[in-house]
Amino acid sequence: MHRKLGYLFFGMAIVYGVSGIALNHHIARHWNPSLVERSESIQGVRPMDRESVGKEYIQEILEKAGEKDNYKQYYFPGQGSLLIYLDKGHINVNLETGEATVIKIRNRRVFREMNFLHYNKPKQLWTYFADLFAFSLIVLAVSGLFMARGKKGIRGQGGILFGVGIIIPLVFLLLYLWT
Amino acid sequence: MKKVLAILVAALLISCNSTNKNDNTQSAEDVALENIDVKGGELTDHVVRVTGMVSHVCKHGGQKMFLTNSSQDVNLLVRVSKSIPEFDIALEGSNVEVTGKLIATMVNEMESDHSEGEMQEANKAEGEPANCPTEEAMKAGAEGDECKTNVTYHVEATSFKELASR
Repeated sequence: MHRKLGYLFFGMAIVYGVSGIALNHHIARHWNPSLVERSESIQGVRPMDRESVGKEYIQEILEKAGEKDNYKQYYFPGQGSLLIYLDKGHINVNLETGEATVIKIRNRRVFREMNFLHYNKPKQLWTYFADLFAFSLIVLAVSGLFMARGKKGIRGQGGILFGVGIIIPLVFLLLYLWT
Repeated sequence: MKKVLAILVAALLISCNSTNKNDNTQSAEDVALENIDVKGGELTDHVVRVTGMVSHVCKHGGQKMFLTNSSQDVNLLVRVSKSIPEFDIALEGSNVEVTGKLIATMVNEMESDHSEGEMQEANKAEGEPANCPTEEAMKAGAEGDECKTNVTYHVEATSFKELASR
């Protein structure tokens, strides 16, 4: 059983393992595993009143940013700011100072797909397949405890490692949740 | 073993065949974004169809986005539902037509001099301010002495399509 489940869920273990690392660092605010963002400031953009913003001004910014062919629409998220939507990105403009930044956004390949599955975005049948994987992990963990016998088994070295693996999460709970 | 694999493949095929069949655009009621607040009361829990420009897509998972109208004075929150996995970030700046269930959310707001921090502490300790009316009373339009009721609306999208740019 241990061997068969190991083969069957190899792919799932890789998907959940890799995306698990990615999501850990996403939650720790180290990066966004699903998107790649690249920003670059645009020089020479004139400050402008919101009321005076029009086609000509937008065109001027697009030319300075080299994004003339990628224009979609524009929007005012606040009184002094302008957002120009591009194909795969946008330009932020501070209308009071003329500071402008072009931000290009694209999906991060492989990680996006893995996170898509890890977050259970497909829903429907994927939910049950992922449940089956989770249940199988429990089976693998429990059956794994008794695979080796003797000194390296649960009554020897394996028992110590088993204990350490239980204590470490408990220590973190004690430090960050239960105090 | 072969039986297990056969069951998995069959389940997969059934699942693929049953996805994205939630097309309820026929029974949906068209509502302009600027009329959501006015018509929201009567359309709550009904299927509505709204169009607008996507002003923002949540970068952390794409589970929600905001739609704005041509005068950019309304922002409507749209959330994914069971039939939509996520909203792609590439939708930002695009015009879309969204069909889904209109959901109303009640928000209590104290009219006293409490600061926001104090309010949060009070709510954390007591759950809800003691003088606030019940949800039933709010729905009936009753008002408490020290609370006012804000109703906000969002759409739980069951389908959407990108439209040609304005």
